Amino acid sequence: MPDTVLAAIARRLGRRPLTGEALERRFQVLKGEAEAPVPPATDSDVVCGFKTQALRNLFEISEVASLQQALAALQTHLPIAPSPQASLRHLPWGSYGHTLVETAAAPALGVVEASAGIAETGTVAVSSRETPSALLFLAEELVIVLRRENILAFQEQLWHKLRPGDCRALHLISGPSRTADVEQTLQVGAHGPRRVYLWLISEDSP
Amino acid sequence: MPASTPAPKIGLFVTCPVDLMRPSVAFACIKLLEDAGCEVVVPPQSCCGQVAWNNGLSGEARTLARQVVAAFAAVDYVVAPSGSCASMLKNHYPTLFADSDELARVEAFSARVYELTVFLHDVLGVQSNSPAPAENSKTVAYHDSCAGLRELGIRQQPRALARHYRGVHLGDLEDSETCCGFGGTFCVKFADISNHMVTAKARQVAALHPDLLLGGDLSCLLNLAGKLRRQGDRDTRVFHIAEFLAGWDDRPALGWEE
Amino acid sequence: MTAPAEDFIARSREALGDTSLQAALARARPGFVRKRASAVALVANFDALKAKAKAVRQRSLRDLDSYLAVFEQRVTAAGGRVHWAATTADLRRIVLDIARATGARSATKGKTMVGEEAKLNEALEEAGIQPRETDLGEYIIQLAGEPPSHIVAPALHKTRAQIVELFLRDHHLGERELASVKDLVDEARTVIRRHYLEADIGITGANILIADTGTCVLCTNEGNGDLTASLPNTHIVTTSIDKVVASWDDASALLRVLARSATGQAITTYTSFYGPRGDGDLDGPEHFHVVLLDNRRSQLLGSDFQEMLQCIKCGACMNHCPVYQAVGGHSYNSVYPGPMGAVLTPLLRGEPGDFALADASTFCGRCEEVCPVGIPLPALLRKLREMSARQRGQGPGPWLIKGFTWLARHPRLYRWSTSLTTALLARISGRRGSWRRFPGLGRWLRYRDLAAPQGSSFQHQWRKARGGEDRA
Repeated sequence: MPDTVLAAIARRLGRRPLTGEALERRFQVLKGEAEAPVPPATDSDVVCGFKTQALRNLFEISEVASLQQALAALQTHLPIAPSPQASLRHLPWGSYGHTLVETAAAPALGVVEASAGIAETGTVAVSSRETPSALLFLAEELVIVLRRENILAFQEQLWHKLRPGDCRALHLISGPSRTADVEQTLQVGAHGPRRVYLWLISEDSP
Repeated sequence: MPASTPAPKIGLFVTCPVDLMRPSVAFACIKLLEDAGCEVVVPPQSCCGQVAWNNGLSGEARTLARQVVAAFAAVDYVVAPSGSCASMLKNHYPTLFADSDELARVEAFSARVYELTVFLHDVLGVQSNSPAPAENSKTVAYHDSCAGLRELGIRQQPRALARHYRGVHLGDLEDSETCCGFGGTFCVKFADISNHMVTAKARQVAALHPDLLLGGDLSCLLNLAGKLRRQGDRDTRVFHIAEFLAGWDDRPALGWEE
Repeated sequence: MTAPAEDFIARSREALGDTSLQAALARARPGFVRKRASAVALVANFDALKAKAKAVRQRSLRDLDSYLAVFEQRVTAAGGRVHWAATTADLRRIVLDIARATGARSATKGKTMVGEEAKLNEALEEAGIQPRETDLGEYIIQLAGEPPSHIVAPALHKTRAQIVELFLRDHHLGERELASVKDLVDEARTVIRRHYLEADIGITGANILIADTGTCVLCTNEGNGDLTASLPNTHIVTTSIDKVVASWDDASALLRVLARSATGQAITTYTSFYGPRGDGDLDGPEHFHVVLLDNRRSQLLGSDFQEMLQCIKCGACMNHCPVYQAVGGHSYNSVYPGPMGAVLTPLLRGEPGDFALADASTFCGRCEEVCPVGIPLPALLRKLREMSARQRGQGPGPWLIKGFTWLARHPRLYRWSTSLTTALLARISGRRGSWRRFPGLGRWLRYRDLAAPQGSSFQHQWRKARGGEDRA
C-alpha cells in the first residue's frame, strides 16, 4: 500500500502525512526556512576561475571569437567527421569541408553546446532539450561550445537562471570520463567521451 | 600570573594507568605544577569510568563519575596527565548526566578540568617565561593520542612546552593522526587488528629512529613501548611528556628497568 | 566474548592474512586520504561548507514526510511514477513487476547500494532478466561473484592481477596481454558498450532526491550511470527515503562536500539531474520510475540514531578508519562497511553478528572528523554498545568491568588492593622491566611486551610520603 511508508515516517515525526493544498503550503513554508547558500571561497574573476578549474578537470580549452572561427578550427585541429547537435546544424559546416555524421552508436566526434558554465567547479551544463544525452555520452570525443557570457560563479546562480526540472536531464559535465576502479589508478576515458574539447566563444550571442 | 593572586589549587587526577603502572608520571606532574606556582593536592580517587562508558555500561560510569566530582569539589582546577581521561571528565561527564538534575553540578566540575599540557600552556602560560637553551643532541618524536587530539584539540601545546622546557623540537610520526590501536578493551578484544595498527606505528617510529618517543597518554605509550620492545628495539626510549618536561628522561624508560 | 563477535574476528583474521587484500588496501588508503586533504585545503571555508551540508540534512529529516510527499507529487505530475518499498522484498517485487511489464530480457545497472542492500541482481537473474553492471568496480565484482567492499569503490579489494584474470576468463577475446590499466579500462569500455545498447531497462541509484521538481541526482565519473539512465526505454531509480532535500540549492550544498569527501574532486565528472521525459526533450526513456526503500530507516526517525540518516554515502569515514583499512569491507559482511556500516547494519538488518561491528572500534574519532555532515559516529557506536549490553545479556567482559567498577567505588579498598598487587608484580618481575608471558594476559602479550609496574601504586607512595590524605 503506497501510503504505509509515508504514514510510518509521519507517525515517527509525531503527525499525520499532509496532502493537497495543506502539503503545498507547508512545503513553501519549509523552503523559506532554508539557510543561506554557502559558496566555496574562490577566485573573484569568474572566467579566470572557471578556466583554472576546467583545466584541472582535464578539459582541453580553446578560446575563439565566434562560432564560425570554432568551425574553422575544427577542420584544422580535429579532422574527424563531426556529429553536431540539432541546434548547431544550421552553421556553415560545408564551407569548412566538414561532412556531418548522423548520430550513430559511437559518433567519433560529437559537437554540442552548453547552456552555461559554472566557475566554482569548472563545469558546463548541458540540457536534454538542446542536446540528446546519447550524443553526449556515446561520442568517442566531444566538443563542447560555451559562450563566455554564460559562465556563472556558483551553481545556485544557474538554478535561478534556468528553470530547473524543466528538462528530462540536466547534465553537469566536468571533463572527460574517467575511472579509478583499477588499483585506484586514474584512467581517463571510461564509458563516456575519452577527450573533451571546450571551446569558449567570446562573441556575445546574437 | 600576578604575584598577588593566591596559588591555584590543583587536584591531580592521577589516572589508572599512571597510578598502577608508572607513578613517576604523577610525580613529574606535581613537580611541573609546583614549579609553576601551583598548590597540588591528590584526593583519594580511582577510575574516571571511561572503560564502563565505552562498553555501554553508563550506569556504572555514572556511579564513578559522581565519586570523582565529589572528590574534586574543593579545588580550583582538575589536571590529568591523559587526553582520554581528561576528555572523559570534561566532555563525556556532561553527556552522562544530560537528562539529570545533577547536570549543572557536573558541568561546573567539567569546566575546571584540563589535560596537563593544555593547563601548563593555555591556562598558566608557562611558555611566556624565559625558555631553556636549545638541546641539539636528541631526536625526539611525539605520538598524538586520539582523544587528546580530536576531543581536546591538543597539538600545539606539548610541542611548545618541549621547546620551552627543553629547547627541543618534537618530530611528528608519519600518519600522526592515525590511531595506535590501543582503544581500551579493543586491544584485547580485537588483538589481531590492534596488532596490525601498532605494527604500522612501530614502523613509523623505526623510520624516524628517534632517541625518545613521547606521548600524553600512558595507555598508548604502553602499547607502543610494548611493541617496540617485542620487536627487539633497544634504542627508542619511551616516556610520558610530563617526565620529559620535568627533565627525567635519564631515568629508566617505559618497559625497562634501567 | 559472545559468539557473533567471533564471526567478525574470524573474517578479520582471514583478511589480515590475505596478502592480496592487504596489498590492495595499502595501495588505496594513502590516495583517498591525500586526495581528500588536498581538496579540502583548496577551499578556505570547508568547515562552513560542512556546517551548511549538515544543516541541510538535518532540516530534511525533520520534515521528511512532507518532502517525500511533494517529491512523489512532482514526479507523478511530470509523467513518472514513484513506488514505496517498505522492505527489500517489496523493492525486488516492484522492480521485477516493472521489468516484466516491459518484457525486459536484460538490464544495465549503474551503481546502486540500495540495489545491493536488496539483493536485486539475484532477483533479476531468477526472473530471467540479465543484470549487467556498468560501473567498472561493480562490473569487476559481478565477474568475481563477490559483494562490494566499499560504497564508492566496490572493487577496492581487487588487485590488477586479479582483474586481468577475471577479464581473461570471462571476455573470450582471444590472446591479448592486458598489460596496463588503460588496456583493462579500454576492454571494459568495449564490452560494456554493447550492454548499454542492448539493454531493455536501465537501473540506477540516486545520490540526492530533490522534492521541489521531483528530480534524481546521479553522480559518476565514468558516464556509466548516464548511459544506463538514458539509452533504454525505461529508467528505474532504486534509492532510499532518507535522500530527499527540498530544493536545487540544497542539492548544491551537498554536492559541494560529497565529491571532495569521497574522491577529492570538486565535483564528479558527471553530475546529472534526472526526471521524467517531456515533449521538449530530444531523447531519453519514455518510462521513469523511482522506487523508495524504507527497510527500517523510518524507525530511526525520532530515535537516538536519527543522525545516522544524515549520511550522504561519501565513504570518507571508511577511507580514514584504521579498522576498515586493516581488514577491508568484506569483514563487515554488509553492503555498508566501515564506521557508517557499523552503525547502519545493526539498525537496518540487526542480525546477531551485526552488533559486534560496533565493538570493533577504538573510538579514535577520525570518522566523525572527516564526515561532511557531522554525524557523531563514535557516540552512535557507543549507543549501540549500550543497546547490546542491555539486550544481549552479559558475557565475561561486562562482568569484569562491573567488578572493576565495584572496586573503584571503594577508594580505600581500591588503593589497598592496587598498591599490593602492583608492588608484588614489580617485585616478581625482577630486573626485566617488561613481561613477555603472564597468565591471563595472553591476548596483549601475543603481540607485544607489557611494562611491569614501577613499584607500588602512586596513591600508596603519595600517602606514605606525605603522611596524610590530601595535603601536598
